Amino acid sequence: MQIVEYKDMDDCFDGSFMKSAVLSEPMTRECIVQLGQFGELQFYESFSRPFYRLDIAGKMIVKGIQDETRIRIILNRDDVDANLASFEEIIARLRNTAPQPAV
Amino acid sequence: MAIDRNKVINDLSKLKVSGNSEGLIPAFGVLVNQFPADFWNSFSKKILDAAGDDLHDAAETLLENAAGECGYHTGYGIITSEEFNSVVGPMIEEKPEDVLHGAYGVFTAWGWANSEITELVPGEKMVVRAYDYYESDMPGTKSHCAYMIKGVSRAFMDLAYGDAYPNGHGKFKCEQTKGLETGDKFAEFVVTKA
Repeated sequence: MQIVEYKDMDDCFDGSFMKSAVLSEPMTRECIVQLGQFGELQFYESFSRPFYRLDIAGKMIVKGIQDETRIRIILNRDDVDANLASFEEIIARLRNTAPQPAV
Repeated sequence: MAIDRNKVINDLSKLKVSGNSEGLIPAFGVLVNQFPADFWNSFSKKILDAAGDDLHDAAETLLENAAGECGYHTGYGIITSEEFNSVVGPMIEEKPEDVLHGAYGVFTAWGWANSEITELVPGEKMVVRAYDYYESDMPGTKSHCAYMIKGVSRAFMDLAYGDAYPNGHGKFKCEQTKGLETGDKFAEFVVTKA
């Protein structure tokens, strides 16, 4: 999976450490589960639109909704650039292993 | 009204809220914090006491205005958040009325005030009731003192019916007409155009 673009967020900090990204493909359930290897994953599958949140201590919080391409990142302010690079590494390692519907 | 208030509260109450390494909770485009209610009540009380009789009204206005600013910006963050989109988003049929009802579900779920809209005239008027809120525990008060709910309620109306964010702040005003702190069974807030 890749990051297609970052979008500015209307926040109180000029988007300096809270960011919104668009992914190259929707975040499937399989990909969300894979996030768990990088930190503490909370996954609320019973919500009408399943919500996930990944906490990586000292680095970042990542939030999003299953099957959507938009993802929110809140970076630890100690080293925003390094933490953003870590986020991009994580996204690059996600693989959608679910069977794809026949066309 | 399409919003299932109980489901909103139940779902959002499941979310684990925790601070980061700085002791802050980055959420909704702002840094939220979690302090005991007594801290905020004594904060407001000390400001009012220090202001004295001459500046009491001005101090009240400033406290309410702080809540208005917070409610406008944090409120926008809430209604555009992933959490809101996940839980409330699928219930929204009419904008912005259902968004407003959902926002009070969030307000309740996260412990700011157990509150709901009881009357809504789109673009004109909103009446909110609160059945439990931390400001009602402010010690030694003899008059209405729910500055937070007042400020946030008018800010929510600004978000719903004012100019597009961030240019719509200050279009509505709010009066508290009842309060637990003055012996009523619930608090009531009436929001109208400023």
